[in-house]
Amino acid sequence: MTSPHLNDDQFADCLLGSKTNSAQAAHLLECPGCREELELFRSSVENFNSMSLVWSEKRSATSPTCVVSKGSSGWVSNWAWSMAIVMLLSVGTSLHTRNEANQASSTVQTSAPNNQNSEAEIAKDNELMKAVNREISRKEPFPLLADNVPVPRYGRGVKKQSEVRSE
Amino acid sequence: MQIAIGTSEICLTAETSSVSELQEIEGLIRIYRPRLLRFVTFSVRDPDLAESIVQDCFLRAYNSRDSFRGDCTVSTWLFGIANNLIRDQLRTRKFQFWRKVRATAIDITEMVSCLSSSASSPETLLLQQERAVQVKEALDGLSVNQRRIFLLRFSEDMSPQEISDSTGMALNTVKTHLYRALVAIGKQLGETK
Repeated sequence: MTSPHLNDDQFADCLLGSKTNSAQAAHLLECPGCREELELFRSSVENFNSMSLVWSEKRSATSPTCVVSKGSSGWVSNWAWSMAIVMLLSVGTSLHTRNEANQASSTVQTSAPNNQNSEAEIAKDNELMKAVNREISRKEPFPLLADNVPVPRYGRGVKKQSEVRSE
Repeated sequence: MQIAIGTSEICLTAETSSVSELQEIEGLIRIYRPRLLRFVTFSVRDPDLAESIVQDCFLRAYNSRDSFRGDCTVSTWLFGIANNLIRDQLRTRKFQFWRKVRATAIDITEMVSCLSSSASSPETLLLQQERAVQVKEALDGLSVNQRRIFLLRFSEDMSPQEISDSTGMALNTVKTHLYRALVAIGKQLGETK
């Protein structure tokens, strides 16, 4: 056996069935090692193919396969549509009943104070308002503007209040 | 002249049969679903995601059946749609995190049990299973494009030109991916020999 063993690229050529020159073909004929390696690859891939195909066939058989039926208009089946409609209706009716209940409670709440607004309460409120007015309108001297307190004058030789404080 | 007429008739018959094949969605699913599911599952390595991609693939094929011109086989056309869907799925980085969280792995023990006992002895069966697992593990180490191209070539028996048409990649890119995939898988099989 004079020719060297096949390298990776030459193996790839052989497996792809392209560019196999006569030297490679001759080597494959006379070298059992390279032949065995090539055969190992082919058989391994064949085993993988058969194993994976059986696996996917089994999986296809067990999983739901019906994608589009001729009668239906799309993915979603009739029962799904009916369920969606039922859910929408139930949500709609519950919202409607809730709104009605809210309206009823608000009318009760607004009408109740009206009944309590009696004449006595109005008179009491008026009295309170008058008392407040009296307190506001009472004339009292402002403590800082009393006559006996000297008002500081700012000018030359007179220190500002802030300067006095800082000292 | 007679031969020419005969060939065109054959082509026309094949085309009409393809178009009529597309009208029958249930038959289409029955014939192509296992192969498509295998291809997509081992490309994206997530069986649940693969299921939804395959469903989407059939839906798209059915909806756009009128645009099928018949210039390739139905199989190539379907695999082209599946390839586009895989590419779109991989491009969408928006939900990448959630995809990783939700991703389900392929159950290898379940798969190994699928290899039927056509072998002469239990030892041979065990050896076959081991080799199949080795190829699967080698595939896991490849990039998505290398995996896709390897599967199309060696599982679906497509030519490099058909793969190029199906994936939208240049022929030389297809060949490069194929070589790299072959070298990587060959090395893995050689190491574990």
